[in-house]
Amino acid sequence: MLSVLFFMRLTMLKIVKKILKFLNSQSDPVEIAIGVILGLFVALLSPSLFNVIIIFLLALLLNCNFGVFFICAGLFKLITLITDPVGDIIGRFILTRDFLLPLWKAISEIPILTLTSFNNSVIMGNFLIGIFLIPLIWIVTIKSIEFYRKKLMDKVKKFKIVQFLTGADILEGREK
Amino acid sequence: MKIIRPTGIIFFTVFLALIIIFNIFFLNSTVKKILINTGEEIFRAVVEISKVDIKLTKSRIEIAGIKIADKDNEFKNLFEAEKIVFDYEFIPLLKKKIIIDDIELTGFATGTKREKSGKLSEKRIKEIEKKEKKQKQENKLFNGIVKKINDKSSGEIKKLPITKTINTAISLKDKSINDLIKKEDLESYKTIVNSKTKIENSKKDIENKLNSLNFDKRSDELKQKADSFKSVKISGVADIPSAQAKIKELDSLKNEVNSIKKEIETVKNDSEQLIKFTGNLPGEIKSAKDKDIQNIMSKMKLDILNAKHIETALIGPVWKSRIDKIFQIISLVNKYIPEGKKTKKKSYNEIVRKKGIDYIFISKQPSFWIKNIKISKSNKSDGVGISGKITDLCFEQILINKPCIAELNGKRDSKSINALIKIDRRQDINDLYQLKISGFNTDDMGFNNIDYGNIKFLNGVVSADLKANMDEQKINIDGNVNISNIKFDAQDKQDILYLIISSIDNMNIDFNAIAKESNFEFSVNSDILNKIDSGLKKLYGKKMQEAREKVEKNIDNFIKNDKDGLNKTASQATGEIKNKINELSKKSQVLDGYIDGIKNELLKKITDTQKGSAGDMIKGLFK
Repeated sequence: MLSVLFFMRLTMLKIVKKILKFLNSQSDPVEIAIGVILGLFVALLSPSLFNVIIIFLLALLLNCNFGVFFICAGLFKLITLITDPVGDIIGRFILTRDFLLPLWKAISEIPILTLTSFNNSVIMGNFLIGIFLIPLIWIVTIKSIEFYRKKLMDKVKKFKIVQFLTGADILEGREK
Repeated sequence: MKIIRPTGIIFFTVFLALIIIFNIFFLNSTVKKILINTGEEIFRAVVEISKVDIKLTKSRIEIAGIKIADKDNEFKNLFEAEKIVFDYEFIPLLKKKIIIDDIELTGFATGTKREKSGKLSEKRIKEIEKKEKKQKQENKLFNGIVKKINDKSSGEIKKLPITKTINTAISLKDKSINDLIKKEDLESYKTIVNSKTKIENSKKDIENKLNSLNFDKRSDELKQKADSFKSVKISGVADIPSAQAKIKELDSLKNEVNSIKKEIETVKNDSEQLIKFTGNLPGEIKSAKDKDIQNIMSKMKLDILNAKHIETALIGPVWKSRIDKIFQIISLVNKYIPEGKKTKKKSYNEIVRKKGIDYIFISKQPSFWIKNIKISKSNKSDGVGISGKITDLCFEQILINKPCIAELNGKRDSKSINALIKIDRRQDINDLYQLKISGFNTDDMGFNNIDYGNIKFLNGVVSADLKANMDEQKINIDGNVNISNIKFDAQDKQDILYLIISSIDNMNIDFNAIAKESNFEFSVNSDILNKIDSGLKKLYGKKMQEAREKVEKNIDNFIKNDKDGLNKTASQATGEIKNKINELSKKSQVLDGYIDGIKNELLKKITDTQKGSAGDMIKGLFK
């Protein structure tokens, strides 16, 4: 059990190290933005395993930062405590509108699409919340990375903890 | 920046491969686990499946060794099937729809023995209940009747007390009886106290009325006035008119005497009411005492002597267990098959999930439809093999416009079972549930597990016939349960209730429940009431009479002084009042006579004067 916990902490440190390395490099911020958004959707649509698998496959295929994807999936899972009840209300409202019923009926006749559990009030509501948040998260993520690289990166690099994580890798004990 | 990660394609392929491998190695066990969990949620008992074989390429599923335990009889299986084989349609599965043309269910049996207990753990039951609580039960009518039946049965299904001997059943010691008597609470005591107050008040009231008559004063005045007419002299015809005027005055005095007499009469009427009241007192006290005796006897815990109570406690669990069986089926049907009218109106059905609600949109194809289930019976020596068929088991009947019909029949030796279920919810609800069994023993039916306290069923042959109709407005349940060759057992065989009940060898119970939204009628009758009653009378009749006499004697002791006091007060009051009124009546008669005498005297004078003057006139004519 202890070794499992130790391994998990080690993995988390590795992920944080990779994120810091990525932030401090000149890589495209879009990779991080895609990771954040996919992480958000994994968290929001997690009541359906099928959705999680599809998003995970997307994360594998798309050029996104995997570390960010995992960390965001975990962090955004916390906000589902708030979004689930709100999503439930939105989902119920949307799924029971008379004028939309033909659309839902048509979708429910499309193979595979039904497996996404779009007909569940929480998933539908959370999906709509996610869609609404995409532009916001996209802009905030890209602008934050740009701001970080211009204004904060040099100062952050001087922090010992950052140096420890990105430069002197004691945990692996060989690489600098 | 490239949107697609080249290495991602490799990862993607590996991941898909992993999913396929998982399906190959773990799909069967995963589906098995899901089936077991779902089955346990539905039947609230242990579900066992020995093997699930999913052939994806052939779209075929084979399930072997299914055992569903009976939650009311932990060492029996409700159902057991050797094998279930069916082919599913793959494309509807991708739309979350289950469409199956034919299911073959072989080796089907009920009532087979279990080696391990079929009871679920407390933890698992709590889990299921928690989940059920979240799910909406929309059928108000059905939920209403379940609640009412449960309320009724909870009031009736009680353990029978153990009563070792008659003397312990009825304690006739003075102390134990006296401990139960509180003088202030006795109806007879209350009646005595209230009556005494009433008599005293009435007496005062009558006395006041008599005093307010002012008889002596008025009598003296009238006498004096009458006396003044004695001195009237009539010396000639000329005095006659004034004398006649005096007679009129005497008449008015007489009228006054009459009004006094009337007033006395009114008071006399009041006094007669009082006399009548005191005359009725012994009867009133006796009926109050009877109530007291009943109360005290009920406090003496003589309830066991009530044949109706024993009958109710004995037959309650029997009818309740049969109705529960029907309710289990209806509850399951309600959960999954909504009425077509509602479905048509809303265009979707709702299923409450752990998170949110699933809206099942009604399209051309139903979400669940098994067209045909062929059931062939088990050849095992254990239980009763069942064969039959179920057609059109479908969640949205309105889409297929066919009711679901299940016909199941089983027979082994003397045991037989016939079930006919018609679930018709194409528009309104129009269901029929019919279940007939015969030749089963009490152990098969779970009656041997009924907790009556000291007494329990040991053996008996059960036949039952149940019929339930359910429509939009009402549920009607008719049932009959007959248990013959009954043998009871008791831990304590000296228990006198056991002695009475053990003489019952046959029990016939008829029950009927009609539930509408506005009212609920339930009746249950059995033929054992007379048997219990005569048994009780034989054992207790004499003792009961003795108990009654003893209680009556003790109550008499408690109220003796007060009763004597009341009698004294009553006889004194009535005596005094009677005397006074009689005296006044007599006096008024005397006064009346006195005035009459004066009047007659005056009339005589007038007549004499008239005669004298007439004689003088005649004499004058002949002079």
